[in-house]
Amino acid sequence: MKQVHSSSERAQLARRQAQLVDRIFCLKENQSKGLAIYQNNLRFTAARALSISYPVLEKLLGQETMVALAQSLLQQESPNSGDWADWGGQLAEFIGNTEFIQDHPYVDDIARLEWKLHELGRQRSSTLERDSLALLESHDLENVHIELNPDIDIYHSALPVDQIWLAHDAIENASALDETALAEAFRQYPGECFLLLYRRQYKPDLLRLNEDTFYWFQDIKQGLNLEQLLDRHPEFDFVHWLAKAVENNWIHRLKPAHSL
Amino acid sequence: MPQGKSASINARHPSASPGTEGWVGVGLRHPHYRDAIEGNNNAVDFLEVHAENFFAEGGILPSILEDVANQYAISLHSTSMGLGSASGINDGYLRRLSNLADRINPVLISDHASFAWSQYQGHDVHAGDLLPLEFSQTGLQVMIDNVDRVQQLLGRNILVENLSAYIDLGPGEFQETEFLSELAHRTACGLLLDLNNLLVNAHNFSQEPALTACMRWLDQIPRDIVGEIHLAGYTPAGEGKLIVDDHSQAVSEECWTLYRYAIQRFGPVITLIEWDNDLPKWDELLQQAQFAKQIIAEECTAIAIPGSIR
Amino acid sequence: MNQKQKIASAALALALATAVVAPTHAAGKEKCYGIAEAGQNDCGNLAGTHSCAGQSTVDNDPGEWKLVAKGTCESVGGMLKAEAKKRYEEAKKAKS
Repeated sequence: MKQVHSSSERAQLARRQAQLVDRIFCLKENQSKGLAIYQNNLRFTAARALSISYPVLEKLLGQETMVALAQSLLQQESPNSGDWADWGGQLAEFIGNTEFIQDHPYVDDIARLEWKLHELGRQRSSTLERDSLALLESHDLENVHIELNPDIDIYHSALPVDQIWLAHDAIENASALDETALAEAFRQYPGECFLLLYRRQYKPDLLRLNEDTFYWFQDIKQGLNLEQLLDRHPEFDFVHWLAKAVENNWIHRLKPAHSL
Repeated sequence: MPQGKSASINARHPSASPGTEGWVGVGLRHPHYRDAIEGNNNAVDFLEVHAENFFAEGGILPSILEDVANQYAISLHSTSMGLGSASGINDGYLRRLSNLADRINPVLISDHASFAWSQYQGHDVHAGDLLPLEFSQTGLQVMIDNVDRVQQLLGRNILVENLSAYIDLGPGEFQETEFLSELAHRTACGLLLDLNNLLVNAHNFSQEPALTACMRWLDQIPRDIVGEIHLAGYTPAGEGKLIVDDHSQAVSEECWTLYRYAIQRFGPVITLIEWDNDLPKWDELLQQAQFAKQIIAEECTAIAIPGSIR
Repeated sequence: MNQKQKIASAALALALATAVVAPTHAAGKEKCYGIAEAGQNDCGNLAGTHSCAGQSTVDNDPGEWKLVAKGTCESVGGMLKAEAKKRYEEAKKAKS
C-alpha cells in the first residue's frame, strides 16, 4: 500500500483547509452560494456569541450593530478555543479605537464591565479555608498574602457605568428602558464608579466600593503582602473588612509567602 | 424499498451502545432547562447536550447540568472537536471535554466528520463551524489519527456524524459512505447517522429524487456501524437557493419516511430529535420523540424492544 | 507586639467569630434558570434563520466602517451629558 499519510501530504491538506478558512473568514462577497452559507453562519454565530456575552451592550447598540461589530472583531480576534463563550474579550478595546467612542465614551467601559461579568459568571467558586486565618498570628505579616476567590473582580470607570448597566440589566429589551429612573440614578451617582464584581448566588452582580477599598482590593490582586497592604493603607479598617470578606466569601484563603 | 422488517441487532459494532436500543431523546437547549428539570422526566429516554455549552467550570451552568444528569441519561454531543483537522485538535479543548465527560458520565459521546482547527492570518483559529472534508486517503488518515487520539483520551468509543456540506471539494478517492465505513472499521468508532443532513445534501446537490439518493446512501452503510440516528427539520429554501441545515423546524415528512427506512435496515438504533433554532414548546418537542418511538414500535415488531428502559 | 500585629490579631478574632453567609444554591436556582447564558455552540446553522440574514454585508475595514447605535445608546448619552452640564453650571454658580 502506498504511503498515503506522509507528513507532506498532511501539510498540504492543512494548507487547503486553511485556504478554505481564509475564504470564509475574510467575509468578502463571492460567487459561491455554498461559501456564502459558511460566511453567514460565521457572521451570525459570532454576533450571537457577542449578544449573549454582552447583553447590555446589545440593548445600547441594537442587534444589527452587534452583527457589524462581530464581523469586524473577527478580523482582529480569532476564535481559538472551540467555545464561542471564550471569544470577544477584545471588543471593548475594538470599540475604544473607533471614532464613535468620542461622542459615546461610556460604551467601551460598558463592554469592559460586561466581559468581566461574563467571565466571573463562569468561574469556579471556592470556599474559605478557615484554618488559614490562623496565619494572622502564626506568621510575620510580611509573609502573609490574601488570596481572593476567583469569582470576584474589581472595576473602575470615570463614568457612572454601573447605573447604565443596572438600568439595562433589569429589562428585556431596549424599549423598556426607564429613562426617568436612569436620570435620577445619574443625579444620585454622578462621576466615576469603583466596583466590586461578584456572584450573588449564581448571578453576576456589582457593588459600589469607596475608593480606598477599591485600591485595597487592587493591591491584594497585585500580590502585596499584608505588611505592605497595611503600610499603604494606614487608615483602612482591615478588622471589619476581613470579617465582611469572610461573611461574603470574597476570600479563598490566606497563604504564606513561600507557597506563592 | 426494503424487504423484511427483521432488522438485526445482533453482533453489533463495539460503538453501538448496549442497552440503548429503542431509546428516543431530544436535544436540551437553553429555553427548556426548567422544563427538563422540573417537568416529568419519564417522557424521554435521554437528553443530548452540546458539550461546549457546558465548558464553564463554575456558575449556574455546571449546576444545571448536574441536575439534568441526575435525572436523565445524557448524550454528550460536541460541535467543536474538528476531528478532520489536518493540523490536529487543540490540547486544551480536549482537556475540557474530558473533564466534562468525567463529570457527567454520558451514555454517548459524539461529534462530526468535519474540520475546524486551522490557521487564519498567521494565528491559530477554530473556525466555529462544521467545515467539510476531502474524502481522500490523507483525509481519512487524519480522521483516523484524531479519532484514535480522542478515544484513547476519553477511554471509550465515540460516534462520528455525517455532515451537511455546502461546497463541493471535488471528487475524492472515496465515496462519503466508504470514507465513513472505513473510519468506523479502522477506529471502532460508530456512525452517528444524521438523516436530515443526508436530505439537505441530496436536495442541494443530487440529480435524482432526494429520498432515492438517501436510501441508496443508507444501503451502502454496513448494518453494524450505526450507533445513533439524528432527526431534524430545516427551513425550505427559495428557488435557486441552497437549503441550510438550520434545525429550526419539526422533523419533515420526508425525514420520517427516511427514518422508517433506516430503522428497517439498522434496527431500533437510539434516536435523537434535534431542534436548535426557533424552538417549540417543550411538550411539542417531546411529541416529536413520541412519534419516533411509535415508528420504532411499528417497524420493529419482529424484535423485542425493551421499551422505555429507564 | 507592634500596631499592625495588633490589628491582625483583632481581625483574626472577629473573622473567626464570623460565619460565611451560606450560599443557598438549591433554593435560589428555582428562580434563576433565566440568568444562565444561552448556549453559544449550537449546531443549527444560523445562515438561514437569522433575522438579519438578508442584509448586505458590512464593509470589513474597521477604519472605514462607522459604528452606529440603534438602541438606547443615544438617549443614555444625552442624559449623561445633561447631568454633567447641570453639575458644571451649578459649580459655576456656586463660584460666582
